[in-house]
Amino acid sequence: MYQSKKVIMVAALFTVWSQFSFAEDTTINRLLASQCAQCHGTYGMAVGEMDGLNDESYKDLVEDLNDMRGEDSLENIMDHQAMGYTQEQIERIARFYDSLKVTDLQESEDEEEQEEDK
Amino acid sequence: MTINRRKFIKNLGIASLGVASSPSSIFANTHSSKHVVVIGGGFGGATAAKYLRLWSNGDIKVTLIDPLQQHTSCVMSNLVLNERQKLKNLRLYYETLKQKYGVEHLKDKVLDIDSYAQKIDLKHGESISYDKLIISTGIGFKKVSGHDFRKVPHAWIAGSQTNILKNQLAEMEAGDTFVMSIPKSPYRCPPGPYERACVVADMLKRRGGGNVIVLDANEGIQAEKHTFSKAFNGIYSNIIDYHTNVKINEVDSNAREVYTSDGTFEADVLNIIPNQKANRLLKTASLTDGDWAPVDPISYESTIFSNVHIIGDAQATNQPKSAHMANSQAKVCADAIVRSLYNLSIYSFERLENITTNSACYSPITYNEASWLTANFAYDGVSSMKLKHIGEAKEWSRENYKEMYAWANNLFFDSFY
Repeated sequence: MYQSKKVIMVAALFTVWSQFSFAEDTTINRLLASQCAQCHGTYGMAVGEMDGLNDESYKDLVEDLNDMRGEDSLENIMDHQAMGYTQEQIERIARFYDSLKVTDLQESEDEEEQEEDK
Repeated sequence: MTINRRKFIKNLGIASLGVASSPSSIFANTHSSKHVVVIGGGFGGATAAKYLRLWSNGDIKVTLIDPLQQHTSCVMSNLVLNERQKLKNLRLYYETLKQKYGVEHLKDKVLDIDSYAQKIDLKHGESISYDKLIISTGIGFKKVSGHDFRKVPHAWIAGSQTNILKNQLAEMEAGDTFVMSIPKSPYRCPPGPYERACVVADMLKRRGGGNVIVLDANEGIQAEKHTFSKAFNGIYSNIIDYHTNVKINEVDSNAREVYTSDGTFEADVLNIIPNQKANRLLKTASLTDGDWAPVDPISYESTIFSNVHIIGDAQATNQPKSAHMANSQAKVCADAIVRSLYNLSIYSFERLENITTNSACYSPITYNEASWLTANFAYDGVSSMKLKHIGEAKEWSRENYKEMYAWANNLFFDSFY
C-alpha cells in the first residue's frame, strides 16, 4: 500500500514537473514567426503576390521548410532563409501560424458580432 | 484617441486572435499606464511602435516622435534615379499606425534626452516622460571638407536628396562621367552603393555609353560579391571603373571634383556618400561609444543607460544596417519591452535560444533584372548576434525583379500599415 502511494506521488510529481518543463511559451513562437512577416505579412497576411502563411497548416509548413533546407543546391531565397532556423524553431513557427487558422470560437464570436450589428 | 480592446483587435482585421491563438492573451487582463516613447519613424521605429501595441493588446501607450508626417523609404529609392519608381510611392505615412493600432504621433523634434529622469525635451512642445524609450534615428554623416550636399548629393537618406541626384542624372549624355564613393563599413545598406553603380551604368549604357567611376573606401565589395563582381567585370566592364581602399580627402562641390588617396577625379555628376555614424542625438545623449550606440541584442537596451533601447542603423552590433534588419530588431526589442513592463523575464533560456533576426533584400542590376541577398543571425548565448547563414542569388533575373516589388511592399506593410 505504502509502495503504491509512493508510486502515485512520484507519478503526480513527474506530471507536474513535465507540464512545467514542457509548457511552451507561445509568445516565443510569436516572436520567431514575426521574423517571417517582413516578407509574408503581419500575422502571415501577405499583400500582393507574396505567399501568405496564415492559412498554412503545421504539417505543410514544417514539410515545406524542411524541403527547402534539404535542397542539394540552394537555389532560391527561401532555401537560404530556411537554413537560418533549427528544426525546433521551424516547428515553433509552424505551430504559431497553425494557431491563426479560423477556430470554432472565432466563428462564434464573428456570429455574435453580426448579431450585434443588426 | 481612445481605443477599447475589442475595437482595437477588430481594427487589426484579425478578430479574436488573442483568444484563438493565445499568443498575446497572457497580457490581456493587465491594465497598466505604461508609456513607451519611440523617437524616429523609420522602419525600426514604426515597426516597434506597431508591435508594442499589437503585443500588449493595446495596453501600452506608445508615442512616436518624428517631425514629419511620413517616412520616405530608402528601400527602392535607387529606382527613382532611373525613373522606374516614383518617390511619392515610397512615402509611408504614420496615419495608419494611429488609426489602426492607436500609436500617437507627435510631430516634433527632440532637443535633448535626460536618461536619468527619463524625460525628453521637445522643440515645440513641453517635455515628455517615458517608462521605456526606443531610439531609431538612423545615421549621421562624417562630413568631408568642401562637401555641399545641395550640389553634390549623397542621396543616402531618401527624399529631396534623391530628387537632386535624379535631376542631375537626367541631364547626363552619352560619354559623360559619373563618380561615386562608397563609405567605409559599417554603413547603411551594404549592397546599396554597388546597386547604385549598376543602375547608373545601365542608364548610361542605354544612352550610348559613359563612365562610372566607383571609389570604394573598403578593401573590396561588401555585399553580394559574386553578383556585383560579375556585373562590374561583365555587362558593365566597359563602363564601371572600380577602385578599392580610396580615402576621400576633399570635395570641390562647384567644380564637381573629388580629391582622394587615389588621385583627383572630375565628374559630370558627383555622388559622395560620406562615412557614417549614429545620428547626432545619440551622441548628445551620451549613448554612443565611438561611432555607434552599444546595446544588448536580447533587448536592444543601451549598455550605457537602462530603459533606453536603440534599434536600426545606429546600434553597434555586427548585424547589417538595413530597413529589413531594423524591422527585425524592432520585434526583438518590442518583445523584450512588453515582457519587462509586465514583469516577465527576458532572460529565460527558452527565449534566449530563440532570438533570431534576418535580413533580405533585392538589388536591381539592370533596368528589369535584380539579384537578392539574405542573412540570418542568432543570439550566441553570451553577448552578440552570430551570423548563422548567408546566401545570394546565383543569377540576376526578371523574376527576381518582380519579386523585389512584392518583398518591398510587404516590408512596407509590416512596418507601417
